[in-house]
Amino acid sequence: MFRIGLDIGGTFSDLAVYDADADSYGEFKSLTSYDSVSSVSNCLTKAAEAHDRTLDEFLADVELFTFGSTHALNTLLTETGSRVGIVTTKGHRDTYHIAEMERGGHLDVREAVEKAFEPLIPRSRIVEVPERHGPTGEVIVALDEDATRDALRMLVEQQQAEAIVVSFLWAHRWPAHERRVGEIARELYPDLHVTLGSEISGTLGEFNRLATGVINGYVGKRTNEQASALRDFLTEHGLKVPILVMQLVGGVAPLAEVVQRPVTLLKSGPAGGAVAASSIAEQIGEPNVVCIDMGGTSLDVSRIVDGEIQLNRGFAVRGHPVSVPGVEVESIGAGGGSIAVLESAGSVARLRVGPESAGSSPGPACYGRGGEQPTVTDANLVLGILDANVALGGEIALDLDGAKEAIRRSVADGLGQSVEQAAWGIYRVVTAQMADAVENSLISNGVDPRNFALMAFGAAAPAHAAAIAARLGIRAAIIPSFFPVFSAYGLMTTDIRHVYDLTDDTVRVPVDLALAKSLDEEAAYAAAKLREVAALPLSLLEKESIPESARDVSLFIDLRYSGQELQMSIEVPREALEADWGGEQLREAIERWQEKYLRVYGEGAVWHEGTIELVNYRAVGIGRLPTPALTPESIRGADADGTVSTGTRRLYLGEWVDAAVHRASELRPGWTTTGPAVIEGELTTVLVGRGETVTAGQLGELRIDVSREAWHTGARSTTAAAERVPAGATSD
Amino acid sequence: MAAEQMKIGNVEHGPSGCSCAGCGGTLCGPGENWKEHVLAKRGNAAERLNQGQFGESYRVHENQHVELAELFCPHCHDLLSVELYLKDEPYRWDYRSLETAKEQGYDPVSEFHQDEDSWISF
Amino acid sequence: MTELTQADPAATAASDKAADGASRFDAVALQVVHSRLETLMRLMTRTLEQLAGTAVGREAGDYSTAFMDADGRIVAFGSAVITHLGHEVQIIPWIYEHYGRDSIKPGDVFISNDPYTGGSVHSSDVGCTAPVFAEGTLVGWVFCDMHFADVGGMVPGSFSPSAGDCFAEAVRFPPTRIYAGGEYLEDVVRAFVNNTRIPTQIARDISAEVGASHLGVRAVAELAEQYGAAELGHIIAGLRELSEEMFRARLRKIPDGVYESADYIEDGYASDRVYRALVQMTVSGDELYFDFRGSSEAAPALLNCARSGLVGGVMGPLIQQLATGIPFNSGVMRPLHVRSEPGSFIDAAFPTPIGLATGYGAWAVSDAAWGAASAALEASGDEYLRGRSSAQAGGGAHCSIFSGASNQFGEYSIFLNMDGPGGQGLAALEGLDGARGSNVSLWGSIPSVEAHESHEPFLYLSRELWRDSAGAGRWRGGAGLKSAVVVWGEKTSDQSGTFCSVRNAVPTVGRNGGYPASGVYYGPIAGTGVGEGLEHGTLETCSEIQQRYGASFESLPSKAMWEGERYLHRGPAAEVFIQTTPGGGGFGDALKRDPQAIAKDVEEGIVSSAAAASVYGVVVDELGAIDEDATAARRKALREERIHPSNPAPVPVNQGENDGC
Repeated sequence: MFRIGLDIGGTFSDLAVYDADADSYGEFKSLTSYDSVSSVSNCLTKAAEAHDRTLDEFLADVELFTFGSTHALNTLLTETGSRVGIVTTKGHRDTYHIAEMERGGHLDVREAVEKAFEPLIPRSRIVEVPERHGPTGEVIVALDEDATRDALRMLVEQQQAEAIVVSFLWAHRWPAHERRVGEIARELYPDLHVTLGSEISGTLGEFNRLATGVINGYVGKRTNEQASALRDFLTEHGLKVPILVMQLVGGVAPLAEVVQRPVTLLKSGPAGGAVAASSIAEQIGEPNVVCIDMGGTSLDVSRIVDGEIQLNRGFAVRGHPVSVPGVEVESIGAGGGSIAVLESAGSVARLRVGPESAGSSPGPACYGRGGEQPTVTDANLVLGILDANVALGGEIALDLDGAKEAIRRSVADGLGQSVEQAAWGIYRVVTAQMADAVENSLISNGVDPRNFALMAFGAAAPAHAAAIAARLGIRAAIIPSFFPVFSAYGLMTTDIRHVYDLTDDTVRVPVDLALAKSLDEEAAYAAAKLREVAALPLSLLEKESIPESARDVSLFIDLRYSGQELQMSIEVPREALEADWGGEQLREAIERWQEKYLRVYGEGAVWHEGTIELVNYRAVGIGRLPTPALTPESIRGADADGTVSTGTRRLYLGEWVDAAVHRASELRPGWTTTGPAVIEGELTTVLVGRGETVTAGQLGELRIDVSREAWHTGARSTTAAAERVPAGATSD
Repeated sequence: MAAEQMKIGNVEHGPSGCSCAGCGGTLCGPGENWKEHVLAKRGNAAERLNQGQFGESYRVHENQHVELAELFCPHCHDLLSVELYLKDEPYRWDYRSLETAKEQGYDPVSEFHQDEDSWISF
Repeated sequence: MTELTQADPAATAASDKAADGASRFDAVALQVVHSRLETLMRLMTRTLEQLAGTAVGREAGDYSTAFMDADGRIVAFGSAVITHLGHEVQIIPWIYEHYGRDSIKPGDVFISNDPYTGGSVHSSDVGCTAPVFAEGTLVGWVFCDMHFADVGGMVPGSFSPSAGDCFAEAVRFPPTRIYAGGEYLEDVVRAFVNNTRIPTQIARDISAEVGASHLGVRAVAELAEQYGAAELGHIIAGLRELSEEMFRARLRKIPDGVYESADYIEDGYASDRVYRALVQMTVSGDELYFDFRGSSEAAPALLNCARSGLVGGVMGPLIQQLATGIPFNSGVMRPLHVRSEPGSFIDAAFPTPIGLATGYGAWAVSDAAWGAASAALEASGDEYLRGRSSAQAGGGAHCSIFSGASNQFGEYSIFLNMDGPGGQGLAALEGLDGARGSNVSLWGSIPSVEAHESHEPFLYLSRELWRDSAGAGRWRGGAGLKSAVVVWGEKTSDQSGTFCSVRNAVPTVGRNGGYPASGVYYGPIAGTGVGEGLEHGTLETCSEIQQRYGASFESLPSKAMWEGERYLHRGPAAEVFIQTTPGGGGFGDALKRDPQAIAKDVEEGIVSSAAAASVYGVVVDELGAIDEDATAARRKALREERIHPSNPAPVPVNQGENDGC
């Protein structure tokens, strides 16, 4: 039997296949075509052939089929979505265009205008209907059903809307009016794509829910079409199991459920990466991991804390808020294609890297496709980290002279340095910027980098992983062995996950808990809310025929000091769903929360008067799916011949060193060596610093024991400045 | 930077004076403020703006001190500038060369060097 | 300390280059430290936002962070409100002068909110600053501040149009330790919050700043440890020099000369007097002078600003127009010199009232300087610089402060509506219509209606884009907002109010022939029957109410205080309270606007079809269909009207040579 992870990316479609009977693992790639079914068909046919089967025979033997796709995201980015019409509360037609008047923090006045939120829907496709709930649930104005019918007819028949978004004030708490509009819409137009804001997002704030609903409607129809085409194709060719789709929350759900909420597919690629990382982290016993995924243009940072992938309550795509829970992924513009610029004035200069990127076209100067500006990839080539004699991914021959010339012209000449020194400067700057992004992600969430391991994947990150870790005091850098199709692997190892939030700020307790004699009443209310929110995922899991032994639910309460925006979660045990969970248990949970707060923000950041509010209840339902237990044997490439070392290469790491070169595909568990060394995979190169030890683990992952000395992180030893500063300018 | 010719708004400033950037017509000679030499409609701001031309809900609170000046090119009737003034306030200079300002008694650079303490520096 | 002084570019200006032509500074270290400090600013800002106990600062984007060197010069700046730089540059020198540099110990934390001791621009912004030590040496200061909803004084919310001096306006703390050598001084915090009307929330605001400061101190100390205090000082000197040199190079692209501009704001409470901020901006080589002499003398009202506001105001156009793309630090300020008449309303003398200095005096400084900067940028002829010239953005603070014995939860409450400063329209620029936001509050935004209703005793009947509010022009300004609320909630009492606004009688101006945006207006409308309607399940929007009552609606003056028996009532006789926010000014001649763009404006509800015809000369129906012939005729007629004899007699043209025509 086979398990399949399929990741349909913008450029490539990746397929990961695990043959449970043979305990073998394989990867297949195909260019993503506009008609994505054909790329799926390509990949699957390759996989079937590799297993000596026809496509139909192969699919009939599939026991788990998971997929992730960037289709929804691309629909948004290329602005090729549906004509959406909006039905909203009377008096609030402009909510979407007002966009909370967000200026966006831009310092440059022109940028503030150029980068302003651009509505996807013209005002003429937004209609108000009389209806209104008040803030405590009171119905102030009943829904005017006649006006609703008129509004829908106008949008569909005059404005040719292909999808309708219904979003009313306070509907996340009191959704009755939205639901009624949904019913009316289905009566009038049974095939119309209808999104109810309250079913997509549970957050307070009408603009965020509406804008999230708009994205859902905007990408919904195209996503549905793609999903149906895929489903039809696969069933036609004999797939018997349900298709599971990766969602933002880092877990899969059946396709039939997800197509109602396509917005939850927007970033399923990075989510898949985080899931893969968490699967590996769990298997190698690392509870706290910060993950970096560095591609051509950007760096994505995500976190696993105490074994849990960290979620947040939303993100934004080009200024469009998407207020749904999802894997927290923070991106900065630092990738292999990031351009190095020497900014100088008078006799001073700074060497800046990114956020401008050469992308894949024209790409780095060394691609020889017309790129003239030096990039991180060019620097790594000049430093010898990348092998000038090997074509990248077997396709792109690297032009070392072109890279040198670009760096000389743009950076080295201005600094009066050699090309290698300048390249080393680019390496250090981009490394420091990535380290800042990692630190930002960790510290702003109140965790200490030193308790974390760094996991690096994506084409470009492993060459920087140890250096980034060293800057942050992180002791271990881990490079999983499956880098080329990491997200596809993640898809295959995931569980079913359903995340539901319930916002309710009724319960308030004194900051000084001693003032509360009993919290029994509060605990009873909270427990009722937890039961309510947990019922949804649990019933879904039941519906999906997940055996009871494989069902699990995690419960969280978000708390805050009254008035604050910060909502920190605390996990409560599953017993909270049982009857005997009472005041003492709640008190213990709140005390744990207060300790966590103090640990993060310190004494003096708490005022010991006033109240703490319980503001949000969350249930994460998990349906455990079998995870393939991978071994080095199951993942070894077909071309394995056992030759690990392929010689040495001269590298410039602030000084010239001879580094041993190894082939990643040949490494066996327990293999170890000491840097400087490079370990080369198909698309990736791992750099191990001087004196650092690297060891191959049971899953074929590499673990670098990071040494600060290897990277000279202190400026006193790193910066060439120390050598060049005229006597008297500083005392060093 | 020393500049011979420059465009500020809809007006060209040069050694021989100012001209309309739209039609090239001369507005004034060197050392003169072009605003004193064009077609000007100037009057109470609220009175001018509240006539309904700008829309039903457009309104400016009445105040006797505030005036609106609309300055038109005398040649092509392009609207060059719309500005606010207090009643009886002279037209502001968009630009004066350091020399012109000095001739007219204003020389901040010398003032600064003579009395740095009266200036806030950083 | 001596190392830092020696590394100062001023002290070593002569030895700029090493013998081999390379810089004294390492280009990599400069960027690495810059990136680290920028990250730190983001971390501190996020902490402030998250921990704040009142919504005002967070929701209006009214807070700032900074890192200063040991001499108090700005190194990094994470401000949401540029004006706050005005006190950020003054506070450390004040502390040294009065307490002595030697008195500063690791673990000290100061709070401050007094504009006259350099600690604030207006007293509502309470700051928190803490020294950072490494290797026993003072390496710098972290700073943060935030708008607090109440800081005492004679009226709830601490904006009083009638306060005659700064004593009546607010409690004012000069920089005062709340931590001394790491020991928390709770008594001092209590002394402060005891003078405010909502002590628990205010204490939580202070706690948020303490949390952000602690984080900042830790992070900078780590950085200093990594590099060594002296080396870090050297790198910081390099960053300062780089920014200074970059800015000087830019100034050299601007023609030498004097650029004049002004901005006006009305009092509207004590009198109808209008106050003028007049500026002569002089560029000479790579030096920049802002001379505000000629500005009006101080007002007997909260609209003045002290020197902190004058400096903060100048920073607005400096950062957003003149020095864009250059890492901001004190190096950018080095070519800058500012002069004013002490005692004028933009450089007020103690104890003149300064309660809304940020929103009025300092904003007027910023807007006046903005006009001069725009002219200078245009004069440069440089495409990038010309692109930063703009009309005036909708500006100023527009605050309604309601308070009552009981809100919907049965508690005494103060509700400071700051949608005004957050919800304005940005001005048009060449080639671009204005968008959302102001030119002072960079992270400005407005809370959702649901956020308002969840903690304020009001129901929003409507919140709309305000049609025809934006300044007309070839590129039009961003639109302002118009909202209508009624008092709401079972337990809610009638609400008393204080109102502060500007840009009512002095509208937001356009540029290069663009027209002003509408003046703002606000106030209650009684007798609409809306309260009764709500009890019977019907609701009217602001526009509907205005259509019925428009003529009889009297806007409140720019400033108003309800005393005695004047309230906004709840229930069947509830008044509707209307509030607007200003749009941005237009850019260029409206008759040259692309008719298609106008058609879209009409279809999108930003411009009425009536105004499209009468201002833009475009004849277009409500759905956006253009009548081209009628448009051509209309535009021709409008052009002719410009010089029609019935208009005031134009000044005769000077009889010069007519070579261009």
